[in-house]
Amino acid sequence: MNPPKEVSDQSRLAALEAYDILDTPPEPGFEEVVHIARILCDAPVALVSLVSGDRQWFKARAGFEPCQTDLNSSVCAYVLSEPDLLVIPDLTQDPRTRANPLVLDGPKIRFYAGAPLRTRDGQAVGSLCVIDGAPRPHGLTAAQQSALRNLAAQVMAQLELRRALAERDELITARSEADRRRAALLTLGDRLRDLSTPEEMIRAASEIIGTTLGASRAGFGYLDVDSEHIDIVSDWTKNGVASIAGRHRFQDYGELLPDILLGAPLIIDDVRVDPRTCADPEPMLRLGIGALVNVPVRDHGRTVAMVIVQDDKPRAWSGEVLSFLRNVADRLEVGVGRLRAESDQRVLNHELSHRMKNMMAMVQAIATQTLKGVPDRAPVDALMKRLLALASAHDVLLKEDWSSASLRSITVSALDRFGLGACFEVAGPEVQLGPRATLALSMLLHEMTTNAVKHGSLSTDAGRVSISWRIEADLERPELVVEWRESGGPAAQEPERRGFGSRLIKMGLIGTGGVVLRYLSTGLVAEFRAPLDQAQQS
Amino acid sequence: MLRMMAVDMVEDAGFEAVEAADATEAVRILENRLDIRIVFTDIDMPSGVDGMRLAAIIRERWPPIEIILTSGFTTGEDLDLPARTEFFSKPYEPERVVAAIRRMAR
Repeated sequence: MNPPKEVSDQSRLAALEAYDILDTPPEPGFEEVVHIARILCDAPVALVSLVSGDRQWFKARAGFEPCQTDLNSSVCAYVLSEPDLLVIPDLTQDPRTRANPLVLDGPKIRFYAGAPLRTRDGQAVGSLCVIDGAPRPHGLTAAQQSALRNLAAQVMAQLELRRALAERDELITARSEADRRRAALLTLGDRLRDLSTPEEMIRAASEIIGTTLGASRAGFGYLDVDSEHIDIVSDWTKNGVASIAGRHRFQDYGELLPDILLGAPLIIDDVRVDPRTCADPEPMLRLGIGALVNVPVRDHGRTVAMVIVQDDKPRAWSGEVLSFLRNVADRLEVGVGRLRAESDQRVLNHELSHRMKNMMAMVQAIATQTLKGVPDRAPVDALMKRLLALASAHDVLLKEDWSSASLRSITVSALDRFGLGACFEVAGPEVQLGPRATLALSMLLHEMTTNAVKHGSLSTDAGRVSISWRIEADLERPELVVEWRESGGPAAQEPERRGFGSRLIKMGLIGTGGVVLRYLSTGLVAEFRAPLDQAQQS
Repeated sequence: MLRMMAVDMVEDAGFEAVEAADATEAVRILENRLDIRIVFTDIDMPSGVDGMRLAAIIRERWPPIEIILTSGFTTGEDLDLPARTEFFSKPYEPERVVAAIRRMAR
């Protein structure tokens, strides 16, 4: 006999599917219900029977051995269309059940009473039933009927509760995975900032992808579209998984290239099923690849590389995972771009400063030639020396990529040209100055030394100059203080005429003053102050 | 312009200067004259052999000749200078170069 048409109703089957209950292990909530039903109805068998499209499966059973039967043996299938209880006092007398194999053979069941298991929307997913081996002409008592209805409601409540718990767990898992991915992106950002080669960046990103997604492999490959290869650089692998770093030909693994050329992510949940790889999944399986995602990294509209993630078993890659990978790819692109920009900048700075040095040599040559016939050599000499002082400041910066220079090397280089090393005492902590402050300090030291040689302490053999610097950090805005102290020479005299040299000195470390000159009988003492951040940045 | 200044510097110091536009000309002069004692050359020259190569050639073919190099492209630390060679970063200080010439000519 054909099962009733309600069995195959699509919305009913969808409702059953939504509980995700078929073939799950026994649970106490349902076991208790069949136990109580059996006692209340004084029946040897009680079942929580769920009727799917092709079988009935028992979530809980008492007094009955099989865990499921085909629909041919199902009495419960007839409950689905019942508004209330279905009670069949003698199964051998009912046209629907008299040919049932369980009635004819096997346990030879005779009495059946079932309460439909209905969702709130009215979809019947099965029945809670009691079965007896002897017919019961009077069926169930009113109290037993009422109890069976209430117990059926209890089964539904269990099913709903079970589903709510599963949904909550899923939500919690999804949220904690989202948190992990967010934290991973932050960590990646931090690590990329500190790394200085693309290889290190790729390694860091691969590791973060692999550990965050719990994948078996994560890596990065450069695309060679012309030869249809991918060069996988060092990949991260789960413990015990071999690396697949090296050159791979797309052709060897299936129809992967068309998607890659389009610049779309390549997503395969199961290499044995996916149309692009199912023809021969062996090459993938041999490498321990059950599922994979390749996210393209694009440069000027072309796919140049791929972020690669693989799992050793089939895996449904979620949209969140994809957007996480895209985020990682973006960050990697930005990081590598930064490195490239920095390296370009270095090359440019280097080239520029060489040109500047050659230009200064040219200025020097022009000035030399132009001023050749000038009889008063002192100003000519001063000009040449200042040009050289500027050039030497330049050299110090050039050695450190034109970004900053140490205060000590600036000082040593500025004084070096005078050949008076023994007369200077230089002391101070390690401080880096920016390009502008470097030039200013070099010119300033040049003028101070020139003056000291002409009129100050260095005009005598016993004269000395001590140059020291310190950082006054306890101010609201920390300051750099450089002190120039002459001794052992004649008493210092304030000059009557203010020339270019003294104006240059007055401009101080960053061109805004902050200079105190004291003409003492023991010699000139000068103090130069500037906010530290300005001296370091400008 | 730079060569003009260099020539002036050498002559003002009391020496005779022989100019060469590039390394090839310098080698030709060295092949034809035996009275050259010091070669002062820029490392970076517009075409052909550069100053470093010229210095190496001189060291090999005319070992007694002293060499002074200058360059705007390096500050000197990264150079592998041949023996008995002095280096001055550009722009150089004429007094120092002259001092080196006098020392070598002694």
